Amino acid sequence: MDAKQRRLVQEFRAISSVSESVAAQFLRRTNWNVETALNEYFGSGTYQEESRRAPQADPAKITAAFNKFKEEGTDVIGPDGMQRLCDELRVDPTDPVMLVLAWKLHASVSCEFSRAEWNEGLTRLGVDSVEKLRGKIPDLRADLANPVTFKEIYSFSHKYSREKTQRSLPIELATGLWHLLLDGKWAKMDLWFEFLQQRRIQSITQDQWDMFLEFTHAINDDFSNYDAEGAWPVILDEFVEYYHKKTAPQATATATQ
Amino acid sequence: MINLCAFYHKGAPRNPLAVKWSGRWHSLVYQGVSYTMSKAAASKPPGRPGQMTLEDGWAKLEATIHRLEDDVEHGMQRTFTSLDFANNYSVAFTLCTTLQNSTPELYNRYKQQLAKYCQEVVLVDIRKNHGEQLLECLYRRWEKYKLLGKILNCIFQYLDRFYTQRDRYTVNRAGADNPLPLKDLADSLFKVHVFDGIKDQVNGIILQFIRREREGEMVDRNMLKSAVEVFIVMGQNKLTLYETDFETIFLRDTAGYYKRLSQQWIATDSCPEYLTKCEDRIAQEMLRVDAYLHSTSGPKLNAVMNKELLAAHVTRLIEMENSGALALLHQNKSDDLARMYRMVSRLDDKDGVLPMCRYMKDHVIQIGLAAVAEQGKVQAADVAAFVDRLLEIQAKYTELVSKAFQKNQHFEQALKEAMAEFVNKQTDKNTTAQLIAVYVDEYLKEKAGQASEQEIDHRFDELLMLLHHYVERDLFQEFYRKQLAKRLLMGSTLNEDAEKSFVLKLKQKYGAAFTNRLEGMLTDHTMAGELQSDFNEHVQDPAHDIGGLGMEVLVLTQGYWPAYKFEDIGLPALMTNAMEKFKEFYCQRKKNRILTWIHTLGTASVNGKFSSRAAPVEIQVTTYQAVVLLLFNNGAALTRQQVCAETRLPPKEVDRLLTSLFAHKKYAVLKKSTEEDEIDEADTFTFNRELPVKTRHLKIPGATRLRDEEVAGVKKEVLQDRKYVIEAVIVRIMKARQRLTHAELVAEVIEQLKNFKPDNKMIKSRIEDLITRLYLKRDETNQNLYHYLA
Repeated sequence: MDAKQRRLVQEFRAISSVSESVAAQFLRRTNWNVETALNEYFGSGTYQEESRRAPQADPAKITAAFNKFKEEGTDVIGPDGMQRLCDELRVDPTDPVMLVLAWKLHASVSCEFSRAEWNEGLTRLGVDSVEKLRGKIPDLRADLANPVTFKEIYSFSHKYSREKTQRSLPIELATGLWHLLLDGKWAKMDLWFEFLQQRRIQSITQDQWDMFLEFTHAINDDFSNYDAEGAWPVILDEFVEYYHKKTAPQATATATQ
Repeated sequence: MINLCAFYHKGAPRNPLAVKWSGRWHSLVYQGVSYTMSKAAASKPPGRPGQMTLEDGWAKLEATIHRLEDDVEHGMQRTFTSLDFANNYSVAFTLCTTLQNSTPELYNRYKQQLAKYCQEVVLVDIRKNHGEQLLECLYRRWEKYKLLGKILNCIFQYLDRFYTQRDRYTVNRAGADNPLPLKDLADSLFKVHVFDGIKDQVNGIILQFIRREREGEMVDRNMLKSAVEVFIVMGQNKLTLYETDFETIFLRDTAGYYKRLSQQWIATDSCPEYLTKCEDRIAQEMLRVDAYLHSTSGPKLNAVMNKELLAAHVTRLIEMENSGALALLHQNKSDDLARMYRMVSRLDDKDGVLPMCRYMKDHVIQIGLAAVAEQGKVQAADVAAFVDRLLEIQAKYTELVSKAFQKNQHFEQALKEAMAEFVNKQTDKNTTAQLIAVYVDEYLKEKAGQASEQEIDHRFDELLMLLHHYVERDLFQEFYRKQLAKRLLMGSTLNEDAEKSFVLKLKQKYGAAFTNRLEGMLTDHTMAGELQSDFNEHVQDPAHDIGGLGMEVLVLTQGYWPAYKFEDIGLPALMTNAMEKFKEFYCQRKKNRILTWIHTLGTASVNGKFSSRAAPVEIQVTTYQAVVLLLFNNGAALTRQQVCAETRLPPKEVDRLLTSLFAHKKYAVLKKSTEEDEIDEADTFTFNRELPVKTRHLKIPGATRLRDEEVAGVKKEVLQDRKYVIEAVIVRIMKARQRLTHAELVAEVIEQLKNFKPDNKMIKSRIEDLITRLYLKRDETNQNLYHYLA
């Protein structure tokens, strides 16, 4: 997307309040004409679904809920408020579903919801109380299971978790997130962590982060279809190399036995 | 040329048919005759036709033919008058015109008569001879036969005009045996009845002569030429007959001959001997074509020679031990190599030229690597000798390629690859970049002073050629910059024109970006002189007095010059004052500039009074040394501690400076309180007034050459620079193209980077970095596609 297209996406979202990718999807389908795209969207099943899911939410109640958790003297729900919110939602703060919630709210700062994020987010979800929000949790879990939304949540988690002035995520945070999101989903996870430690990798960029998920999807577990001449980040080249170096002597050893 | 001249002239009706001829087989002129004849026939209509029968008429004509056969036999001694001609013509004419159906019959009888003549007279006569005589006889008979044919053509001209011609062109008798025009008929009869019967024999004779000539005998080439030409003439001037009946056999014979010969040679001769013979023989055969064969045989003969003499043995020749390509290269036999090239280049490149190329490449690499290994062994690498050796190798093989191998592109390429192979081979300690830079440095400092402009120019060109084989030219540039800076700062350059010319050459070859900083440095240096004289004038004014201190300042533009250490050092008031004055002066002239003093590069002259000399001695030192030395001006005895405090320099640096001032006997301007070389806390130093000084100047040595840590620094800087260069190139490309796949982008980046070869990983890392910094982004669906972000 170039700058102009990005602006069109923003325009589209301002009216429809859908995610960036959905907006882009409709715009692309209508050759970047916002008006036609919006017409199409409101006539589409996506909208029907959204509007069904978003019954009238009372702005006053939403604000009340916000005030309940907000930090004294600020206009955000901070770590402390977040903990209380989790308690009331009856989810663990380290539950990945909280990431989905942050994603839904378009939260920009880790462990923080601003008033605007809260208000707009809850309106979009069509809930105006913590109880109703709790009722949404299964939906949010479903997003985690859906590969398309998972990819977005995964990518979002990097941006969300890093310091706003930074472009990359410290390795401890990245490792934690990976555990949270990918544990049990990919066979070579342990090897990956071992590699990161061996090479003393300090941080992970957004690109490395995104491409890693791509890598776990596209590449066989024995890396046989990996193309080092391709556009994979260097860190993945080195990882595959690391794997081959590690497994090669073993392979010959078993062969001689 | 045969001249059938002027019978039946108006003014000379009694002229006999006078025929003169002289010796060639072709280029006959007889059109004129037939033209005159037809006029004669037309202007003199036949007499009364009467009731002539075919038999009567033919009897007359047959008699005439016999008579003419006889005449020709005796060299046209007897007379055949125009009246005779006219009568006979009229008979033939009458037969054709009155007895319509007799024309074919007349034609047949004529044909039979001529055939009989061929068989019974001509062939029989020729067969009486052998060898050379046979060829001569054939030649003679053919000439006579042609003459006879010509006269008969005239007599029977009516046939040609109204029978053979008409039938040929107007009557469609497809498939039938069309009657030939009389001239062609005569030729074909000769071919069928005479030539076909003896051509194998003739062929054999010619080939035998050729073989004898090949063995060194002298033969009559004209006779051979005539004999060969018979084949061409018999083929109606088409080459089919020559090709099938002579050339093919000749070529086969030649092939056999040289096959045998080459096997004899290859068994005994060395490669150059063989090829010399080969070249001679090929030249001889080509002369043969010129002398007596048809020119179209040239290429074919050439091909046979190439095949039998060269193609059959080329591999063995090139690989021949002790005298093959490799041996000749080792022995520097450029003439023999040139001949080898001349010979093998006659073949397909893959048979001769490319194997030779491989040998040359291997040989040059071997020599080059030997030189590199040699250089690695010598401890204090003798830079000049090593680079000289590389230059020598380069010059030698460049000349070989251009002279012996006629600048063949395969050889040029092979040499290039070979040079690149070892020029890029790094010895453990030094990179070639550094060695070349040091070489140029030494050359400019030591030799460029005496050498002539052409010599310098030539040497520079050679060096640049050598450098061109080197991949990491940016590394060279960095080393060179460091060296240039030193030369300029130390004032050790002897030849400023040479400096400029070298940089200019670099610029021409690698572009302005490559030499930007070098040029900037040279400009700074040039400007400095002007600035200095202005400043000298400036300080004449008492208001700007700098206390009689002679001060020279070189203003360097940051960015062009290598990064130097700025160190805080406690300077004497005299110097700080002068520096302030200069700053004032400079900032007046150039606005908005910040001056920073780099004392590490400074030098100073200090006058010292020694007891050994009456006059003061000029001590030449670095600024640092001077600062330390001046502390002792009042005769003080100072410890290291005190020197550190005064100069604000770290102890390690002070140790180094003190050591340089006392350790060497000859230059010991300071005296240490104890004898040991090690400096102890308690040791004190004083000025060494008793130092025996023999000259008016005393130059105390300071470090001049790039040291090891500097070298490592250079590499680091260059690697860092490369990152920027690659990024700049990526951004430039992506800006122009907007979107590119990974492979395309990498290919373009490599294509654009001329001064070093980045590896894939390096480029990839840069791309990733640019993605992180939001210059680029990956396509949402195709991760191999990048978009440029404006």
